[in-house]
Amino acid sequence: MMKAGTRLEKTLRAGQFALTVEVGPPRGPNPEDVLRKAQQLKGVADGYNVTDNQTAVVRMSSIAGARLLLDAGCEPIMQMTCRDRNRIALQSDLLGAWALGMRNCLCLSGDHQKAGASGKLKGHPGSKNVFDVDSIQLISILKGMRDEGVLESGDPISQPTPFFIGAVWTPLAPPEEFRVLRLAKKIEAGADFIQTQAVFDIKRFATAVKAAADRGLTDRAAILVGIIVPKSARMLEYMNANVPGVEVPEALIKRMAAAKDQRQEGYQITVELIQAARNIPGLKGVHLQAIESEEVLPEIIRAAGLLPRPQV
Amino acid sequence: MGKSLGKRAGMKDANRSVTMPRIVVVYCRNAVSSAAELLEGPYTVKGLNAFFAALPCSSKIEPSYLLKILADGADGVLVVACPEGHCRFMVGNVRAEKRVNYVRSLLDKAKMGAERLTLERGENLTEKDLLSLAQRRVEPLKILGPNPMKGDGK
Amino acid sequence: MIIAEWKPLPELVEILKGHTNVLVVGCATCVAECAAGGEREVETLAPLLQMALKQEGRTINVRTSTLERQCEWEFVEELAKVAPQVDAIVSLACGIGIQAVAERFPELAVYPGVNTTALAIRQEPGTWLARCAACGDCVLGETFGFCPVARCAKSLSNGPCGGTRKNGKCEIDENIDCVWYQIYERAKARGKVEQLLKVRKPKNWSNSGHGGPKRVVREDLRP
Repeated sequence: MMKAGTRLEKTLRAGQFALTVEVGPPRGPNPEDVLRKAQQLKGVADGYNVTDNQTAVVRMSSIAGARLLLDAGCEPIMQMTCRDRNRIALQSDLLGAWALGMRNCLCLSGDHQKAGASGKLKGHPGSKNVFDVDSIQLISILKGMRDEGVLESGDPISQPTPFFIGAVWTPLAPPEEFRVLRLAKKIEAGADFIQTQAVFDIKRFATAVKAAADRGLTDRAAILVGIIVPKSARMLEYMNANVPGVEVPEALIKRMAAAKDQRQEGYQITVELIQAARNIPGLKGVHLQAIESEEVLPEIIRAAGLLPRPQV
Repeated sequence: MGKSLGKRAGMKDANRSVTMPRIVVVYCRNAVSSAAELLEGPYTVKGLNAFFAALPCSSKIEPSYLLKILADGADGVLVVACPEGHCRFMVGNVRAEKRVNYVRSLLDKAKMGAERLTLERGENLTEKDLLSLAQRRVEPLKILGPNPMKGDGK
Repeated sequence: MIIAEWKPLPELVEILKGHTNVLVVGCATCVAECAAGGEREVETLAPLLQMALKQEGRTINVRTSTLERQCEWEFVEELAKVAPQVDAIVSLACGIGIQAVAERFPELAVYPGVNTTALAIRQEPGTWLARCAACGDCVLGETFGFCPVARCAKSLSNGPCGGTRKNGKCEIDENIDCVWYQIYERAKARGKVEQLLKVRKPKNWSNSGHGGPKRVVREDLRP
């Protein structure tokens, strides 16, 4: 039974290996900044994630960015964190997002404003965070609005809001044994699709997927592996050391460091990761991210043999 | 202890030139050789303007005492403690150093200069040794300048 | 205990520049326990303030006092004798005590000498860790004795998030344990991991400050 009828959902139901990509909204109000990315990425993916003030850095809102993408012919996956809005605002934004044509929504806890912007930006570490509800409760809220036409309070809405509901999985963060159980919770709460934290250690990830499959989770929700295009050995080292849940094998860092053209090597590594992912039983797709360099994605996707996207 | 010590240590010695820094030495009596007589009270001979106070352990110092001594006009405070590992009360001399460091950071924040407060370690010290330790503070304190708290009629 | 920490010295100097006779008043309960506002700290701050203000060319007279508890009117009353002699009070009590003093002596400028920050335990000498968020909806019985509101940076009811570091610490502060990691370990040790599989519903925050300034009345205890 179709939940929301999005391209992503249809692709998965058709048994096709799905591909989603991430679009970071601009740190400004110019719609051209979004449209440019839409033009670069048109037709290469089944869904386009628009982040929600990622790393607590103020960017154009996910809903606005998603609408711009939709108008440009790229079906968006809007992202919603629990950091900045309480349940009233979240539900209100969901009603508005649906009215504006959004049908995919990824629910996240959200980066804490203190762990946020590093480097040049000051960010807003002094702001008051919300976290009225957490990501799993948000999933339940979306499910209630979709399947029962009610808000978290039990009050009815004038009509249900069918969303294809997404959640995030970080299988390699401690406590590892619990991560599959928490994935089960998210699916229990109503998650239809899952995008994982970036994976570089395909072997360990495959083990985690098997554990999920053993619990029947890979049949109940579609798991897409998150893959970030590495730009340099330094970037890999940084992520391995600083981004929880991201494990980069030593061999991969060495390979990058030894490469003549690290950028090219990064594309090659990405293609290999995608191909390895296709061999993991139970895995239903890839979520590809090229931080601040979305323009490199089409070439990589083509090289990975994922174009053209299947007709659904 | 701190209040009276501060007042006595801060008392101006009318016979000395005002450019001579007034140094209060607070020392652990266990750092001093048993044969030596304990130095106590003002000592204003041989080019020194000092005040000596003996403690049963260097850890008897409190941040409030050290700050009061300085607020009452002393130009510098020197704490003398036993060497590491030699405290007869086990870790008293470790606590003393932590407190001294804490007060030094407070003095910096108050723009008084952390250098007004220092810690020295020694054992079997004679009267001469103590005087020498105090004497070594004179030049650095001269460079730091007189304590602005002086001359408040205390 | 309620914990607090000294306001930065430059801030206090700025506040007191316009005053001459100041009373620094401490409290011998919570803030003494966290070494911010007890008698020791009062006697440390007083000479420090004098010296810091002297550096700015200001001479102030500082009186000191430490009450048993600044959140009890009987103790606050003890300041009645010294209050007429000063033009400002710097209180090192928590926000509750500071306000009690301000309420009793509305004619005086009453300033906070500390920032009140949390409800904490002294884990060991010199280390205080936040433990309670006064959320008014305690779930400690379901989280094996670890508070997910106060000890999780995101107050997750269904944690952990993806931000647990390799060593079990929290993403936003490497010195803080990921409390959901601790909850899971405790559940595992007790053989009760399945309790963590239940999806916990959104909290009712209205019994805390989120529901408006708290007012509690017990008729059986009223005079």
